[in-house]
Amino acid sequence: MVDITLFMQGLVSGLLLGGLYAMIAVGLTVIFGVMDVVNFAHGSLLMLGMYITFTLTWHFGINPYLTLIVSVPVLFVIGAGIQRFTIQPILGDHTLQILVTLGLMFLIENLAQVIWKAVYRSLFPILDVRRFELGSIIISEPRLIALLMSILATIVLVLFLTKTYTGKAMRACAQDRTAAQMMGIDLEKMYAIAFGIGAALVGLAGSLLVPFYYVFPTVGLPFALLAFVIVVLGSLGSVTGATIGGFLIGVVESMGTIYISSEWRLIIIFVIFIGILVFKPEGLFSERM
Amino acid sequence: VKKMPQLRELLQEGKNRILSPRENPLVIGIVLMLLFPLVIHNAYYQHIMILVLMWGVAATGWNMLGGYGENSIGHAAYFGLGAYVSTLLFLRLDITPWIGLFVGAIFGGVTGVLIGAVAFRLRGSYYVLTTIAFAETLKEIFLLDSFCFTPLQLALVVLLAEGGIAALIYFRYWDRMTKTIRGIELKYILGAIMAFVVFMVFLALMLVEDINRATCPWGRKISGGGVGLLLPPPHLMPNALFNFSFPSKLGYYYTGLILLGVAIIVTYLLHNSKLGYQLTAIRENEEAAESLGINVTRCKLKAAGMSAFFAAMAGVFYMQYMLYITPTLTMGVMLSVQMVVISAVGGLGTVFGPFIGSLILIPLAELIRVLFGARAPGLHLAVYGIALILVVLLLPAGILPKLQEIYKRNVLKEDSGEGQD
Repeated sequence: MVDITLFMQGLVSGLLLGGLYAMIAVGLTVIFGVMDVVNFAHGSLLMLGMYITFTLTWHFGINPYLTLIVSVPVLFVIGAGIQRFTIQPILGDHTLQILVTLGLMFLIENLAQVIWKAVYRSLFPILDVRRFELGSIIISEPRLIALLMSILATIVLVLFLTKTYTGKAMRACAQDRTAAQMMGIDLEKMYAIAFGIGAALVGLAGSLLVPFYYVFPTVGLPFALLAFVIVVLGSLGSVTGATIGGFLIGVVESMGTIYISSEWRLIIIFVIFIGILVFKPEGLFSERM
Repeated sequence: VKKMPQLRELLQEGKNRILSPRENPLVIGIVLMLLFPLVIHNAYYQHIMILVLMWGVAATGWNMLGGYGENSIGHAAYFGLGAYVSTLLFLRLDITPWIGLFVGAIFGGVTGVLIGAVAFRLRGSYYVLTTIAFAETLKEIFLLDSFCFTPLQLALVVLLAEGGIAALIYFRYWDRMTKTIRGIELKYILGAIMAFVVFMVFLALMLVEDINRATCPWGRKISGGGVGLLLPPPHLMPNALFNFSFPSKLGYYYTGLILLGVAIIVTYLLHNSKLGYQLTAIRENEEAAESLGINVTRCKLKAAGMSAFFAAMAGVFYMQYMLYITPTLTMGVMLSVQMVVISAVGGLGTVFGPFIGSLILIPLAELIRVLFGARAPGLHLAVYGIALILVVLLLPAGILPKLQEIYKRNVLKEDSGEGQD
């Protein structure tokens, strides 16, 4: 009873979704890989990126993809600021790091509720979403753009990490803090940049999400939970792992929705997650950046 | 007969301690808490204090594990489970929630141990993420409205899942020489599996009810689902007092106070017991503790059970007072985080810290809600975030230890360099 079209549609939808998941997860994994911090405020940063794009498009009529020029740098600055003023003073203390990012999550999410109110907003009324057909498979344009942009962003990130001085210095900090400092690398600056990059990536994902998703103050948490699953699946700190993991979870989610029920998709994902944590906690791709 | 003089000595010592200025704040605090609803008749203030007590119980429970460095962000699972179990017992079997309070709490405790058995294999960030995953899975299961498996499909799924896990454990973790799995004896594992099966069967029986057989012959409906469960308000409840339902706020207040008192006493006893010292050693250095012969996992599991027990009790209390629960309301990540925030602001790992945190944060949030609620909804919750960040950056040990230090320096005139009591 396997319907090939349905299966292919599920696969394609999953991959389209997975691209965004991958970008959110890569942001999380960069932050973890470089400074060993699990950023619980990651979902809130996604939400901020979404609201920046939404506000600019809704009130000023700017093309949502042009707003990336604003949302990405703003998120970079916010991320670097978070690292500089809240993470840096307590670096190394795991409990306090968890507490501070949880506090940021509470703060940002509820401030967003104060500013933008707890209502679902969307750009659907003012955007005409084009979709095209590939055989019998339907692909919506914003989703495809999101996928292509996230692949592009990941390639740029990998080139940055492997080819530029800053990128190499950052990886050095990830491998050995003390040795990196002895080589004259400004650890504090590298950490701020790493957190900024992580935040910018998730902000980018948020902006790309807006054309086909609702915007509301608590939108980030479910995505952040999925990102946690993905980074553990692909080994905490591994960019390749997070990318592949993102696509994997995207496909699992879309297949689960098609073949079982959308109510079960998160249960399936979390059960896989627990299974991996128990039997292979080092993840599927245990190499660090 | 021989014990009498000892008892008298103990009483004398207790009297001396209570009257000593060192314990004055404690005595004054207890008296104030006992008199509060008798002096202040305003129902709104009483309501806030009941919330303070409820959150105090939940956070004190969390602190029994979290205070020892295991930062669980999954305690909402126990909270919600406690509320669900006691309410289903009442709605289905007409068992009074007074009994449900303990059954729910035991359920929470057992779940805490079972989840811990898996999660304690992991450390640091991995542990935190595992606790979130478990709580979210449980929430999603409770959110399901119905399912439509035939018995054959169900049996197949269960067989495949269990067989797969059993095979994996056997081939990867079974130690032939010692007949153990990662140092845990077989009888404990079988016991855990038995407990788990009994637990699941009970939960399944409680949770599912029949649905329309025509559309789905073998289907079952999950009680509540996303809509949640409701209890009748006190004036409509038959045998209100017998069923943990009070006509005035006084009843809830004193019940909450008793629960909080028990939770605090248990924390105090835990801190001063061998287990407490072992847990402290584990928090400071797990490898060193293990090398001293401490069974790390077993110690953590005991703490997890107690901790989950009280979190679940708070859940039952919440349901009896609020009369309404949904999975998202009682099992969400935010609820877990709130327990963490309250404990951390008051003072992680201290006996009274979580209660102090609750006493500061809940009224503060309510105050802001009253002042700005109309213009800026959500601001009162943002306060939690600000409070947590400020406390972490300025007073990493929490507010209570700082207060104790100030009290010692200014009232007792002791050197601040002396260790904390």
